Amino acid sequence: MATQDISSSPLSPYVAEFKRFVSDTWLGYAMVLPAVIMLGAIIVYPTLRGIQLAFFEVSLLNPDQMTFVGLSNFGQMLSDATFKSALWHTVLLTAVAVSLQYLLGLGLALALKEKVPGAGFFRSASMITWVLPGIVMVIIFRFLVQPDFGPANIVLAKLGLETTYWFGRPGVAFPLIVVMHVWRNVPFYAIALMAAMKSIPETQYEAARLDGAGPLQAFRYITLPQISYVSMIMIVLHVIFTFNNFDIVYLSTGGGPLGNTEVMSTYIYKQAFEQYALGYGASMALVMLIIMMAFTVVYVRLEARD
Amino acid sequence: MLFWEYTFPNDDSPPIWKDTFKENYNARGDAPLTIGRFSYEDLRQKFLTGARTGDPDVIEGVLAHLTEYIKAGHLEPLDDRVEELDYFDGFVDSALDAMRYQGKLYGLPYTGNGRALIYRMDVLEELGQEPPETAQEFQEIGRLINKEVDGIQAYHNCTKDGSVRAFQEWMSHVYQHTDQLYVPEGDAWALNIDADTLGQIFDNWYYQVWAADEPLGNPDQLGTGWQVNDPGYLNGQFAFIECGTWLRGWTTGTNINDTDATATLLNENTGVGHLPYGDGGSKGTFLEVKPIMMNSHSDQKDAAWDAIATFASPDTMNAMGEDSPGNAMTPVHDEVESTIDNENWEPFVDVFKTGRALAKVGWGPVREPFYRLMQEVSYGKTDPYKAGTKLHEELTALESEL
Repeated sequence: MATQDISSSPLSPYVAEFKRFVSDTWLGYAMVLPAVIMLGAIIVYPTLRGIQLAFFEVSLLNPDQMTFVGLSNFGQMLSDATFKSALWHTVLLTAVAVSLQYLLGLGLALALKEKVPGAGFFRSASMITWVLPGIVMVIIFRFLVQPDFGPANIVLAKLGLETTYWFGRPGVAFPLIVVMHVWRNVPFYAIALMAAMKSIPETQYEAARLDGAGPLQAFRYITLPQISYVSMIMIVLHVIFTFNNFDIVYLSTGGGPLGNTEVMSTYIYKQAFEQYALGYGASMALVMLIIMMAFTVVYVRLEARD
Repeated sequence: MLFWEYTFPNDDSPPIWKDTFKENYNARGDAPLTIGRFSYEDLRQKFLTGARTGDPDVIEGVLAHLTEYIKAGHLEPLDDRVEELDYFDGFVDSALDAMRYQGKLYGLPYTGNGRALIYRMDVLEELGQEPPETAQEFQEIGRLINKEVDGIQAYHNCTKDGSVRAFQEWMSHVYQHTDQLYVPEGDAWALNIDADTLGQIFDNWYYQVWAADEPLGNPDQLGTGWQVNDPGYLNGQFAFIECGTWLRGWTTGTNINDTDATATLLNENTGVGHLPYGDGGSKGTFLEVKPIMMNSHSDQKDAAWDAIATFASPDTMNAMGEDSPGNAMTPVHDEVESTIDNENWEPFVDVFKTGRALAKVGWGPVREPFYRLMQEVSYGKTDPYKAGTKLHEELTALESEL
């Protein structure tokens, strides 16, 4: 029986590649496989299932009975005034809250970076708002604005100003929601931005001073460019957090009064779990997913180009 | 055997009811019992989405949940099993009827109450007034209170968007005009109330309370829920509220400013009566009956039945009265002793008899237009009768979906 030297065979490069794959790469794949399976089970499958539901009429009470309706769920959105209002509130809330969070966080970071007395304590204490559970924060704010005994109303009454249950007042409830988002997240921005600022070599500021640059120019040409990457991450993360946020609105106002604080996540919840319209809710969630993906891609590309 | 609930007291008091239930269950069943506690909103959501896994085997909830669970196919009929119960004949008929759908029994009741008018006897006495029977009398007395009595507001009801309590309060007034908001008609449901009556309910209980020139309520409290309603009464802020029996023993906790003052208010100065009704109405109210139910997907149905039979037994219900007296003031079983210990609270028994249980429709789609239009009326954005017409149109449109 003729024998063949593998090393001289035309298949030898492939055999060698396969051996290398088995010995090196295969082990790598094996190591990441559990994580891939886990991610597939808890992220990919639910996402694909949600996308699928968006094209069906499905009731929460009978999720096995699905009727394919094509794009009609999306057509329904065009004539749904509450959807349009909720989408507008969501975009407005995200834009205002994230802008304020960034500006105030930046200011706080600049302050904390300086060697002022008590800065260390304040750095630790300021994180409290961020680590508080959402429900606790909402309870605190609801207590603050309670009629009669809420501290905010007590102060207003002492000043001879109007008091009321502010979460129940159209025109005020929405700004209060913004305030809660800002109150919660500013410290996180501050700590992250401060960490980025601390990584900038002091020699750059010294060189700028020698060249005659003032504090504003140093901030504009040294600090800002070198915290831009952290800024981008913070902004992208918080746009997504705020756009998708459910608990703050749902627990504080339930979307009222008069729909003034209805946002996409609360409206989707109501459609899916109160109106039983699982398919319609999924289609709105898909719209949210597309908006967020588009924002993230565009923003990251713009930032990379800069 | 997994049991989800939101009913056992969750305070520092000795868990008499819970312990009695566990003891009785262990005497009857073999499967280890695990009790999980979630808020009713969580219970409902988790059960609707996860009951097919078979967990929990037993669930406790409110009547609206029973309807939804039945429609989702998650509840096991209990008709065959209840035949073995020697205490089954003792259940109050109206409470047991509330557990039935299309002739089948889907749960056993363990507590019930009717929503009543809770009023300050001392305030009415000071003004020389009797408890109001009609909405007209109620508004007149309420305005008199606001004018003559310092430091107290005539009335408060719940107007928060999405508030379950607000929906129940509204249904109480609906039941003063009709036995059921929807009645079966062939294979579908038909709306059983006219637009003008819906408008009158909006007028009497939302426009006059919040948006009229001399509102009965404090407009500063518009948009609030039970968190203001119940503690507000217990702290002496309101002369009238609509409430169930749970208020009776509520004298401690973070919401109570002065335990002694609240105890005095409940023991000496609180009266209970039927809710006032508007033109063309009569005595009627929202009947709250809470069921314990079996998951139809459970793989331990015998053990689940042991838990249900134990939980809804007179012995366990009597223990419930010991550490949760509000739950047993109007018992749902004739072998359970009423915990009413004060003659001023006895009218709850009559109120309970006028209670009407929710029809077995999916109430989610009904609640949405109610909340929206209720808020529009309360905030003075819509005329109450126009809102009634609009609500009638929207509820009629839902007939085929329910």
